[in-house]
Amino acid sequence: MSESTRIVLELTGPLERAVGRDEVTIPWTGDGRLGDLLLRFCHEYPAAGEWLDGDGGLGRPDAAFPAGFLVIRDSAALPAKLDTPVVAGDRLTLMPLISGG
Amino acid sequence: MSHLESGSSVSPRISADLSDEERETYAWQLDVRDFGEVGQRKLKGASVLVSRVGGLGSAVAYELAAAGIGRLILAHAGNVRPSDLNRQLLMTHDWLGKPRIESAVRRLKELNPRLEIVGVGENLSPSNADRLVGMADCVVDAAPMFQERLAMNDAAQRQGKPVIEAAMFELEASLTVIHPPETASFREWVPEVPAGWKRRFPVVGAVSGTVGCLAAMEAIKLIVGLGKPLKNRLLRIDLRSMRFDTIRLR
Repeated sequence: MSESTRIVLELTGPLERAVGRDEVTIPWTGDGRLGDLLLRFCHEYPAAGEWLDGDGGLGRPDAAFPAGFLVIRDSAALPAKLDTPVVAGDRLTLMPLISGG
Repeated sequence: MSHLESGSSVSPRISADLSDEERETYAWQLDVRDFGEVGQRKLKGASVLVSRVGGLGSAVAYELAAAGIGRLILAHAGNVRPSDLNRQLLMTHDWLGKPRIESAVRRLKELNPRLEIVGVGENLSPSNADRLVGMADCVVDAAPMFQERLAMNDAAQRQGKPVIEAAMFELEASLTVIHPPETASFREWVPEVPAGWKRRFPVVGAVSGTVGCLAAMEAIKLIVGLGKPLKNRLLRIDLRSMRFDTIRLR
């Protein structure tokens, strides 16, 4: 899959553990919304839903950004908004915030 | 006691002077650039709240005690269990079944008998957060539950005090400093308890110890006005690959 037809997601911590992989590739072309990317990710990897879509409402028009969750591009956290733009070729890190002491 | 104005993020009261014994104890760190005797006096005058002295908080409290912090407020409920002992370095085998907070106070006093400790046998909650945060100049959050972190950050934000947010999971850890309005509030990233987080998490004690030492360093930097604290940045640590990244949060 070429860069123009996919987005690569690096997974960390408990999300990596839940999905069983440290990186996944999501087929994607052109521009889109982060919320739609997360939905597609949860659809392809249902174990991620426990972290990203706890109440199953991620697809609703009034859905809130998942609590305690960073999406990182180029070492910067993206705005915690589902309508944040994403584009084919992106390489993003999905980082659930952790609370272990 | 006097009040020291400085470039630090907290303004601890400081004693007028150090004793000869204190100068000898801290001689090696008095030579640190931008630290010196003024920095040591700031530490001596400072109070830090550590929320839970488990794996991570034990390391924080131990390093702060060794560095010569004046007062620690420690909050941790429950009794020492065998399963604590792989990481909770202030708990000892001979204290199994007895209150954790007593073990922590005892161990810290062995290290630094000058240290004033307020040991509270409770975990942070909305009902005690304002009182406990009110006793400290800054706060280190080492609690395993987001409910505690939210309660503590809410109280700290109301009182304008910085929070060092430290956390770990398996071989990963994160660290940042929250101090609104200079930084985003904790609730901007964690408006409610996240889905998925479980009370029991996989942990290697050395990971807790690593991030605990780093969190103690951030507390020292905030108090002394030393270096560049992790405000608006999050240190992400992966000890499986020995990868350390700094993420910009704003």
